[in-house]
Amino acid sequence: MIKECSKAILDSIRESSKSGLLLPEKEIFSKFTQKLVKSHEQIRDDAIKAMLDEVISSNEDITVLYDSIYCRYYYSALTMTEAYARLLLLKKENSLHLMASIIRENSAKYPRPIPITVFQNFPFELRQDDILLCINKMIELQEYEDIEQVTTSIGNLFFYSKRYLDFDYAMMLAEWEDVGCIENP
Amino acid sequence: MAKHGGWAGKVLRVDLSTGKISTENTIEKYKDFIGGTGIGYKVIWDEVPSATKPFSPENKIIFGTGPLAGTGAPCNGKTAITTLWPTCWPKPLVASGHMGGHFAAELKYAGYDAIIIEGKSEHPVWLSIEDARVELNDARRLWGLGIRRTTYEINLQMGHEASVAAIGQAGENLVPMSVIINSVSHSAGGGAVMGSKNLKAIGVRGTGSVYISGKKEEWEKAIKFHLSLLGANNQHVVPSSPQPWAEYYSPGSRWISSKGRNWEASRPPIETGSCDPHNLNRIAYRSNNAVFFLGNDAWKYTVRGNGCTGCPIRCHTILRVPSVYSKYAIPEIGQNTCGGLNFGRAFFKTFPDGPKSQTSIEACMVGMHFADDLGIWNNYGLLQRDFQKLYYDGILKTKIDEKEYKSYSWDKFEKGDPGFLFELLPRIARKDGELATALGMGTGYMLERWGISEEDWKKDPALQYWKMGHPRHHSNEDSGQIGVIINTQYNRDAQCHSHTNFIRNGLPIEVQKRLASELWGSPDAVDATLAYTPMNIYKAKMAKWSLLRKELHDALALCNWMGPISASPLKERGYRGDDSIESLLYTLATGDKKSCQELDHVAERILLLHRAITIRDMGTKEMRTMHDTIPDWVFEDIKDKSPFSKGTNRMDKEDMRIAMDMYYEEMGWDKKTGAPTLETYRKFDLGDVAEKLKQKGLLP
Ligand code: SF4
Repeated sequence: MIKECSKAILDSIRESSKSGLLLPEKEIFSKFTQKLVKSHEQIRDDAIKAMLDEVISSNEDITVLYDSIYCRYYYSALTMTEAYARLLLLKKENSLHLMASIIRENSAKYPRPIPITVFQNFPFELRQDDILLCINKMIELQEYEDIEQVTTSIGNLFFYSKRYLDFDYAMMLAEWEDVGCIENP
Repeated sequence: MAKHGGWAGKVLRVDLSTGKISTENTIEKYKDFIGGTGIGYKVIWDEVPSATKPFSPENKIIFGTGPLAGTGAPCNGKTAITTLWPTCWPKPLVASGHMGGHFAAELKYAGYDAIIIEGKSEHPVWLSIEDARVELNDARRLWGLGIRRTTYEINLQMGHEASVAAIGQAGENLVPMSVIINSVSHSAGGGAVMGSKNLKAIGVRGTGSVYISGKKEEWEKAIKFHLSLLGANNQHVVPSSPQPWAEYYSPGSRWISSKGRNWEASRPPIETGSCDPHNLNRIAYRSNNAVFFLGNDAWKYTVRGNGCTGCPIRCHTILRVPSVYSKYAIPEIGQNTCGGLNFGRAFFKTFPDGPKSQTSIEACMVGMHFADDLGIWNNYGLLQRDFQKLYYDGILKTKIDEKEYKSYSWDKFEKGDPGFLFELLPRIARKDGELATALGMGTGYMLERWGISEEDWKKDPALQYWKMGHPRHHSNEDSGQIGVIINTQYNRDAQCHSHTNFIRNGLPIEVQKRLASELWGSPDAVDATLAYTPMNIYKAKMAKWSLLRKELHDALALCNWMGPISASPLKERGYRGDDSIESLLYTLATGDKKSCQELDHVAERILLLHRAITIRDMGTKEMRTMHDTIPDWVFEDIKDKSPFSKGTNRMDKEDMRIAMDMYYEEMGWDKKTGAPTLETYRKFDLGDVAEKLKQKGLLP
């Protein structure tokens, strides 16, 4: 039964990742406790915990992430990247933090400002009003003082972090993406 | 002679003056130039004398495919159309356009690698090619018809499988800004050259196949490998929004498929979905150029993608917009990509409901309807930019008489009413009135006709005017000095995508630099967009490589909008592409074993021949100062930011001088004149070409 259960845990993590979702540890506990209770097996939380540890140690693709209160989430690297898994975790937690980290990452790594539409589209799916609310809140908070915005000549809003991009650079990059790339296909 | 695969083996020659139809052996005569533009330039060099006019019977127009056309190689549908380009100003010079669709494959299946059209028919004709049966047919009943009706009529006769490359009224009326179109929306310039020869269309149907020399399993493996490295349109290798499988994303990517994004005008609607790159059956769902260019509203009108032979990308999005039927009585279905999609919209500065609005989509539909039926070319958007400048700067009013001026509904134009296109576009095709005639001549000749200095156009950065009547095409805005070098080289807009496909691929700059280091010898070959650094030799190498691969693709019949494969979406490969794909496919298809360096050598021969024809026909070796010119706006910045500061495309004059020096050196050309040296011609087996140039004093 233990072996079967480990296999089922492994499958459900992989299935979740395939559907683009993280699997929270508490969901694994509740699902498998119920299952084992139904089969009249004696089961304790630490037994499931042991099975989970076993799943992680014997399957390279299974990875665990922690949220800010140390809850654990699982995903399979076969179908989900760490970048995406972290994004999902941020999405669960705090919109401000999510937006700021996405904006900073884009400004630092590519580098580029990002359009508001990124947050409106999958997988963020935030409403425009909520995005603007977040941005306005950020303005008041010291920890987000690097987050800035520019508007392109066709009126679209882009965000950037001034830690990595200055205003002129961000403005020109936003204009290039919003107008230049379309006019120069 | 050993049997080669890939090539069909024959080039068809049609003399419209005499009606004589003959064939030549491709391998014997053209193998050293592979195909496509290679055959085109060879014919122009050998057979079209200097000082020939584009519309004279002595000009020739060459439809060249290549050894990969009609095979299973991805994105193989290009026919290079080479001729003396009528919009090249002040003197028409050799140039080529690249027509996708299914014409190339059908021509190969019929048994031909290229068609050379020469002379001039006494009356309108169309050419039918059904395998070995090649005939000239009376086209008087087709003359005056649009491209759609012409295609329909020919398909009625030849069957729906025939591919028809036709001209519309613009080509018939010798409007230099005209195109040839096959398969609904796949166009290339040269329409008026066909018109000048009284050739309305070429219909081709082939029942043969293309022989592949290599082993079946090796060929299939190579195709699968190539497919595995493909990204979305323009070889963008990351998705536009975060996806579970993706480490990176880029909002500027054309890989816009995602959960919740549907082809909503399909019955039933189809979800594009996440499109993991390992799933080769979903490549066609990745791109939607209508949405990319027209905005998210276009999802609701998307039926699906359409495209060229062997191409899973399908960048010509099919749209169904019912409102245009009720409002404008035009078909509710249309299809196109990039410039074609934007053709109608780009005339207007604003729309009543915003830039990416319902009205702007309707303007696209109206624009496509006219442009692809009348056969009008937009010169990579310069037609529309010229039009806006002429109107908003008040120039137009001074150039046409009051009666004509009033015959246009300028209020409609200013408001962004697509109905305005009904007034303008048919008149361009008919050369009806001064404005339409001048616009149809192309920028250089229009300016000359109206006594406007080319310098005025060169000064205005909004026009993006480059030189010789044509605009920039992926210049400093895409890769700094590399783009500038590339834009100096041709006699029309550059049409090279090798560099831009890499620069815009969506990967973070660190990854791009790592790949650049492997491809061109140093991470310094590439800069982050709008953060350019001074010239270095690796940039010169990348510029040369970009040009050679463009020529190679044009010769093989591959789509340079999808290559070279300099990066891939595959994390497990470190996002590497494979720049030897062309040699792998060429070798397997033809049986002629060539490494990528050897193929690049042939591509360089082709580029060199283009240079030689240009020198011969310009009658000067002073290419550096008279041909490879750079407009002033490249050296300016709207905020006067200095070159190499972040946030500017501004180039530095001295740095560009060094850049051109480095490029000429890489090419083996004389730095002072920019003309290839005798040794260089000889190195590429073009000693005879060099001799002819020498006799005319055109060697450095
Ligand atoms: S990418 Fe577009 S133009 Fe190129 S081969 Fe495919 S469908 Fe044709």
